[in-house]
Amino acid sequence: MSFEERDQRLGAELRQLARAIDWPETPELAEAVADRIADKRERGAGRGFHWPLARRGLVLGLLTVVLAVGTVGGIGFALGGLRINFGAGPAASPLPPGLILERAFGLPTDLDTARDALGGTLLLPTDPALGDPDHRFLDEKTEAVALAWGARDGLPADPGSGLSVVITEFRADIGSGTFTKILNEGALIQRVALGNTSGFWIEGGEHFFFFRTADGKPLERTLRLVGNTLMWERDGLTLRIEGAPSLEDALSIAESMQPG
Amino acid sequence: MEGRPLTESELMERARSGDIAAYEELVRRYEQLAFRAAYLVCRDTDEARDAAQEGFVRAWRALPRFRSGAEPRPWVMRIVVNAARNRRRGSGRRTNLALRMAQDRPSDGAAPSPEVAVLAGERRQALLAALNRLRDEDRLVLGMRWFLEMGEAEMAEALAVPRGTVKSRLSRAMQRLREQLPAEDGP
Repeated sequence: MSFEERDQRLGAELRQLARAIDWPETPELAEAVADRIADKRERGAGRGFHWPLARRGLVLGLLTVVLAVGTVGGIGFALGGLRINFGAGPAASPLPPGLILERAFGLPTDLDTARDALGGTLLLPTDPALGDPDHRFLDEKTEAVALAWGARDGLPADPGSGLSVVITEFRADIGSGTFTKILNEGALIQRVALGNTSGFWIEGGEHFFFFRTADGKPLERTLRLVGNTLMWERDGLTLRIEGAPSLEDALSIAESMQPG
Repeated sequence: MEGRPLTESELMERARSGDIAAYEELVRRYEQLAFRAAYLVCRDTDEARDAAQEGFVRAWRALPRFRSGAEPRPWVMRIVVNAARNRRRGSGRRTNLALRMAQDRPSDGAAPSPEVAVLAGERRQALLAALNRLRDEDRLVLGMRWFLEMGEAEMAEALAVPRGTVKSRLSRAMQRLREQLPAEDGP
């Protein structure tokens, strides 16, 4: 019997088995879904959706750090190669937004090259909200991959860069502090659950992102202001999503990411 | 009001314009498929219910990004399956897939269906046990194809992979299922 015939025979058995399966009773979801949608509208939560998240237990804890510049300098923590420091930003001015594309992300690349740079694993969002990235970059110095999207429905682009969402991925086993994030006054940090791991959501205030050269000096060309950011680790990678309008948007994108 | 039920595409268009009742009807039409797909992933009734509900809520929020004219069902299923996968990753539970045959349920006087009677008991049990031993992704693609009767194109959309990838995943999953089964008699 050929493989094809065996597959057909096994498929027929599975089809028969399917008719005999005693599935759990399907719960009535429609009304509950409609209630949640309507409830959200009434509360005027817009796209933020923070309180339902809290109800679902996704938000593990709130570190609510409204930073006073100069009083908490030097305090920080690390996340897979990314050092996060609280305090004033570097003295150098951030790059004008219009230069971000050509100077901050590295060179345009393709997905195969990006995957190789990350050691064989590249995570791509499967959220229909985004679709395929419009731009793919690889910074060869840090082997960081940046995927960027222009405007999508409900995800407006930044007027300066023309980008809405940017996802950055780099290997989490690089030395802590190679990448640094500096949080400035007014930044809010939440620890959030993401699958079986946790991450950080940074919202508001000013925060900068840059990386250090081997001798520890910040490489100015990568210095830039970033928008609200979700950061977490998965599959040996540190991942960052910038530009999502809300934590729930960011989580929705993050949770949809699959090896691609 | 029309004299015929609205199609899924018509319901989707109304939902996109903010009609919650239309979306509620769409959820009602998809809820069994969505729940069962989530159950194949989560292997837990409560987790599957929560994942399906979460997926539908997220799909509502993503409606502005739905491509007009596309098939609504695979688009919604993709979001539901993603929600279930994430919930599965976040759950410490690793229970066996609790698929049971109708005739195995506690006696309630219900007679086995004709389809159940046709299947030889030992072979059926072996097939189910083999499915339970498969890895999650194999069980998901086989379940979507044979239990939920989804076509390859719809699976491709729901799993966010090319159709060729669905074919190869199905083929590999069938091979691994065969390896889990006792050898059959005959040619």
